[in-house]
Amino acid sequence: MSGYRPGPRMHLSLNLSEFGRHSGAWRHPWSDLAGVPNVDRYVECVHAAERGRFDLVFLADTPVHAAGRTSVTGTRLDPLELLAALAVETTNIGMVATVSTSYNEPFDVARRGASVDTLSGGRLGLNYVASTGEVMARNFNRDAQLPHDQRYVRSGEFLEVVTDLWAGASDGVTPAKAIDHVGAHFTVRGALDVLRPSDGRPLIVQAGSSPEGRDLAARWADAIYAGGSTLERAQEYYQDIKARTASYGRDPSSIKILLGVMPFLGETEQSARELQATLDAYHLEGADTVRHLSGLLEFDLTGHDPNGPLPFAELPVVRSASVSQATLFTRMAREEGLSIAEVARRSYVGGLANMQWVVTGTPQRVADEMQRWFEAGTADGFAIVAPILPQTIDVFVAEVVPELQRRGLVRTEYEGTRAREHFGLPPVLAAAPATR
Amino acid sequence: MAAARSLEAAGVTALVLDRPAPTDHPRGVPAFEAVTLAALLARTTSRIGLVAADSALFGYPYNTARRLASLDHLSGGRSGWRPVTSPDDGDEAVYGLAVGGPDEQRSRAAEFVEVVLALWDTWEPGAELPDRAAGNFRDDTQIHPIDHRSTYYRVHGPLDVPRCPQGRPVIVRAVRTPDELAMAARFADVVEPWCANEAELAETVTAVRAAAGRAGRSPTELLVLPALGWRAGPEVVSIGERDLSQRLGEVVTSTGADGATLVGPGTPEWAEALAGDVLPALRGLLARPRAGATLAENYGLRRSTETDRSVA
Repeated sequence: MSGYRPGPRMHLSLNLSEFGRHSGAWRHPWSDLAGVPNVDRYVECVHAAERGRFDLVFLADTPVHAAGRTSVTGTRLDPLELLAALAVETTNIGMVATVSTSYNEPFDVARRGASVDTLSGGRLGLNYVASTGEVMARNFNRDAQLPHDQRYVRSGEFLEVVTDLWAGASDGVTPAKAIDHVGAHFTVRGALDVLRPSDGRPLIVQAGSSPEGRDLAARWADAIYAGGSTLERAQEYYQDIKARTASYGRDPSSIKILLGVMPFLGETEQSARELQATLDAYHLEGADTVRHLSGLLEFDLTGHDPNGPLPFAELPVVRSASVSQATLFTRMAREEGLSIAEVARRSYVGGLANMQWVVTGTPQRVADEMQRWFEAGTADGFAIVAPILPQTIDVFVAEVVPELQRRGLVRTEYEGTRAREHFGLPPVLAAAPATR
Repeated sequence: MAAARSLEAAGVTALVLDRPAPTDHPRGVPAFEAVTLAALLARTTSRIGLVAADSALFGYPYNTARRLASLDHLSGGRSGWRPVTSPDDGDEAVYGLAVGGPDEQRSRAAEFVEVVLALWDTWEPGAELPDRAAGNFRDDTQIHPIDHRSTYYRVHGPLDVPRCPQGRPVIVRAVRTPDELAMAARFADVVEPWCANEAELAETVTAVRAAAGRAGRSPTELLVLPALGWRAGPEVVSIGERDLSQRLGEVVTSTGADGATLVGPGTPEWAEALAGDVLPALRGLLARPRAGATLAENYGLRRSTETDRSVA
């Protein structure tokens, strides 16, 4: 295919979570339930990723309590603090913390980010998220979230403020310079009161999928976490982001697209499929799937015949955090003619896995598939969304990574010790946001 | 990092990480923010308490509650919070928020602390007991919203971080004025009076205990650890080792305090000098922190479990 092409080697990132991203993982006998949150388990996973010469580990974050059984996979600690604790246990691997641009003060993020960047020797990345969801808004002085477009305006302004603060921060020799920012969402006048991050600023990470999110990423991001359940969709996304990046006058190769992949790994194809089935069964057992789907679609389906179709005409337009999933399952039900019970089962079992690429099989097969997708121009690298930790990362590093190394597709040694170096990006010592 | 370990080995109960004043740092600007530094130290130490300064005027109480709760989990129950309740120069400008005069600041900070305390109490002690067979990771009926709506904040809750290993972080308050004393007596676990001399200190210790009593708290619910300045330097150290030990004993006895908070430049060099040259002479006087114990336990605090204690 034509257009933008990835470089010769793929980048690797690991999504960290308490037991793995699969909601059934915690019930598996491999999972140790003693002492959650268990920092030692995170350390073990990051050590494995560092042995595998991964570019990054990543922590998602949603600052709201999610009731119900499906929500036990998340990390329930402040990501910047958890990364500070992990920094002291590691030497090379980059570490990305998610921060909400909707519910933080940019000055706090600039200060805390600079602190963790320095503590880790320049290994920090920050994933800036325009948070969604009405329930979350109610923890932060609001009765409702900002409208979609305003959330992205706020994110852009947030990025401007933090990068200006870092650009003006003292390097220990030159005194800090004050910024004078007055915008629609923030007024920030003053100078950062901690040392400047060693490469100028932490790696900027985004995960935009809407047009506004893609533009923001194209303008600012060093790396993007992407979803894409089919090869074609991932290719389209790749080309779109690179083109948008070029339109801002940026080198398209300076933005790295990391495609999410959930690998179920086993010694044989059979054992890999069994692992997936086992985790699905743990998750499904005793669950009220129709109620779960009702939540996603914001429509009470419990009175409807589970063997009948979705009442498409009556479904409301979903505007909450689950908008992408609601759209996906409604389309799936319509196109495949599924019953309420079946679409409820799929939405409950799969969750996010429905929205990203899943590979089930031996390490050999996973390496083959990653190579195929990489060479098809879907990504500059992959974000490993481990279904169960530490098993996924242990097997991946012991068997998939050496295979990818033999094929010359991933690094065998780190080139540097800072996050930006892993991506071949130079230090940024002045904040000049791209414009078009 | 090394300094924190030295202080731990020397028998110090807790380390207080303030928001450092720029002039205190040899290179003119501090490198670290207190809570994230404490998170790293949680991994490199095992007994010493880690008390971090964080604002109770700027930012969101929900974020502050989860930061300190996270520190408590990372440290196995050794965390403490020093709420910063008055603005430093320039704070209002960088946060784009005017917090008013002292009265307004006090009421803002009081509401902020009240919200944080309430959020720390949103998970009942048994709320998270994963039951593999039944498929329940936790019991949502034991996790409660706070639905706080008042003058400055609206916070629904509950917190997304599970209940802290020590229930809630230890709250440490510096007291420099009578107004601060009243607030500290209501909610602080550790009160740290700053006084110019011993006589004033003795009065303040008595006043703190009396105010706590009026607030319905028993004397074992709160410690008084007055700030005592100690400057490192060859001339001071050479004559000061035995003197400091003796003086500490005298001050604590004569004022009725429970110990002391040693204050100074706070640099690693200062901390190493304290740990190496001064603290060994205090050996017999120090209540050394035990491994596996929470900070509250190491302080010997009996803590109220009252859930809706209001802050005036």
